[in-house]
Amino acid sequence: MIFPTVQFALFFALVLPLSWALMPRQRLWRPFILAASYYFYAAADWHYVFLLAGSTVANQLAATVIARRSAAKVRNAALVAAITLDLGALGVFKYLDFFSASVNSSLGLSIGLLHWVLPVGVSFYTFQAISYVVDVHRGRTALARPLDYAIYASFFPHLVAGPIVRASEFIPQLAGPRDPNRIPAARAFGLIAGGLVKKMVVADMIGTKLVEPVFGTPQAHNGTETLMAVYGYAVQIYCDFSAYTDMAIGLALLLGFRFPDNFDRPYTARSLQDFWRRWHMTLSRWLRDYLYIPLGGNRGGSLKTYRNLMMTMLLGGLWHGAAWTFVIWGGIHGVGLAVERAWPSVANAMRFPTSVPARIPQSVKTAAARIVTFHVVCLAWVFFRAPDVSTAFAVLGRLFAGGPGTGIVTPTIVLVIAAALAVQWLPRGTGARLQKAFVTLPVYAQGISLGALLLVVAAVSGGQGVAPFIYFRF
Amino acid sequence: MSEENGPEPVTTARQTGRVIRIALVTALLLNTAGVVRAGLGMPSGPTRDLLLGFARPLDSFAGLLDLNRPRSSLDAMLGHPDSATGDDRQTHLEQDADRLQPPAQAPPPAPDGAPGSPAAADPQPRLAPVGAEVRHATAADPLRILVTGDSLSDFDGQQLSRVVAAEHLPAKVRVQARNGTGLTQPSVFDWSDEAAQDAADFDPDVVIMVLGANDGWPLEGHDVGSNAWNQEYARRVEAVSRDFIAGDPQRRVYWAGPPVPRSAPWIHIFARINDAVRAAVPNVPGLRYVDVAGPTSDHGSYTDYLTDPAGHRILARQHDGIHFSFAGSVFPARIILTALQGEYSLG
Repeated sequence: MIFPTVQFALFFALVLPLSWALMPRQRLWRPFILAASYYFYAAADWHYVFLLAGSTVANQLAATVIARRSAAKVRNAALVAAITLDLGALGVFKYLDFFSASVNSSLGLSIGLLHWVLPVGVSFYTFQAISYVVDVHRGRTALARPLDYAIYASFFPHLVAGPIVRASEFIPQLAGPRDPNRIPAARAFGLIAGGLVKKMVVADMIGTKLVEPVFGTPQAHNGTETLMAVYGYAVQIYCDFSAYTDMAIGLALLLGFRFPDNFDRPYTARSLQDFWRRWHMTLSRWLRDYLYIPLGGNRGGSLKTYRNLMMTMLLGGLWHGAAWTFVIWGGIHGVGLAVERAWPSVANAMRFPTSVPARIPQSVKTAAARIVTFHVVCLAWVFFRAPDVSTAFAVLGRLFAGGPGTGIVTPTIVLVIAAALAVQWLPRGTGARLQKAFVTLPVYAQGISLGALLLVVAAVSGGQGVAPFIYFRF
Repeated sequence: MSEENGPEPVTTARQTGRVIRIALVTALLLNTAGVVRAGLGMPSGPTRDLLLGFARPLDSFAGLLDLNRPRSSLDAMLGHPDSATGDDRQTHLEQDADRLQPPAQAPPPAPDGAPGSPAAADPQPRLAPVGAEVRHATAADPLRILVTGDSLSDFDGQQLSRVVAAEHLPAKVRVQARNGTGLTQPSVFDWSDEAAQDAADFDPDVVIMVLGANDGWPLEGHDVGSNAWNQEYARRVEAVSRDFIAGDPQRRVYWAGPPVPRSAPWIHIFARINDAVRAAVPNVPGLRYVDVAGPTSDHGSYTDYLTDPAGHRILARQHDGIHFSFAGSVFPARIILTALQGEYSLG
């Protein structure tokens, strides 16, 4: 079940009022929301409900041992067991066939493949589970009650594709009933409506009409079309993924819960470091806190810092998918981050000017930094999108190709790409002002305007159904 | 949320519920045909039955009051006039049944359900006489090839395009995959309409149709894979092919059946689909059958790996056991190209 469908609308229209009706009776609300979340998950494939339940039980058991035993040996063993189990499940479902196929291909072997379908959301709930047991071990999070942890692990708005919510952010919200008189509905509606437009109007259109043809048959397109497809994919993946997490955050708000933000206008970033503070923020901080810092972070000198950055980004790339294209994507970001960090000292050692002459206005320097950052990110996206490494290089090669185009770059496409990028430059308070204006409307006007928006989105998307969210594969 | 614009506006759960109800009712009343269409696209089950049981009478009611007008006006403005068509009107594919000849005799059931196995396959189906000779393609005036169909057609088309480009063949390939579509639910997606539209839009010399992955549904009340189902499926193949060919007797339709799938229920269904396409060929001048299943199987059985002419083993299938992988799609693409070269001079 995915958000922008009639099935989900029916599901949520039933769950929302029941959730608020049961909210004062927490003994009923807890099993209800857990059952609703498991139903939501089972709608994708009921077999993997057992994996989710097993992961929940195992991690809660480990957390219980960690919290209640004082012997460091026992606590550490429980932590290692939980992480091994979590990563083991991820490894079997996500990576085993990739490595088997790679070995078969390079050594001519015939290792059998499992062909297990990747359980929806496994990467997300596994990361949440690891953060929970690690935080309990570090003493940053208290042991949750089993039912509370089960709700946290399976809460349907974030279950499938994030944001990656920490136990310390969510479980305290389960301490008592949520306040039915303080629903930030205007923000929730804004996030959901904006998500629908981003996904069904922008992402799906650019993906179908521009990105798929170019990445499918790069040799058929000239440089202009290829460049527009590269820019188009940057817009498509942002609109696709941020749409999902915006809708997740909005749905949670309607149910009375708050999730952390996941995107903050990423294409306005001035550096790759800045980009990672704005893109998939909940993954970035997860990688920072549970991978980069435990590896040593920037504490062991320059070389170790670069090594840790590379390892973090390469593993972050591999998290997205079992393919060399994702490894290269992570590698580009890792190298870019290391270069950014190294540049001042390298420039100093080589007697390069570390800053551009003062006579160049700061606005020009900032604009140049943003343009360079955006294009490095776009370069990495080519590998992220391409089905294989050779296609990625074929796409890059076609950037310099001449000849006639196929007519896929239409004024509408250009306008949509430009508008989607331009929206990121709106002043920060624009959304809040729109929300305030919205709540001044009478209730009927609010409802009818949202209903009309749904109609327009359905019409623009053409009734061809919703393309799967890109991050569902991860 | 940023606090720089003052405190976040909040409201009550009760009022929020009212806004949502009004929004959903508004969207539903103005888009009943779209909801029926969405329901028809859902897998069989109580949710689908419930939705259709509710939406169909509502669609009739909305039709009486002309409430679908905003949606149809928007569709007309946006250039997809039929996108919200519900199931209350007869689709073109269904209308074709009235004007077409009686359905061709379907072949007997596949003895072992394995498409491409010697028992199931008739590798040389009798060809109908064609209306006109095919035109000669040159580098200056290349053969226009449209690869279309369901999701199976996507990678096949992309790889065909690559092969054509790599070998500098006088052909131009356009890929137009319509994911999630088939012949068994024309009220969800009417391939007859689509064929007529594609023929008008692209004017292809050749249409490569790759279809069948979504056709595990009953037809006209006949169980999947029964003889009556097969006859109706063959009739629909004929109807769609005629719609592609209409107006250009030189145009050809190469219909590639689905490959041998991994899991049991689909093995039989895909075998029957291949049978039905074969059965349709003699009745439509210009329709050709391309057997992808046989050459990409292991003596009629499913296989993950295929060996290319250079001797490299390629992981040719995706996890689902139905689709080809991107790399593996070069095999059906080559099979299709070989079939084309049997009729067209492509250098």
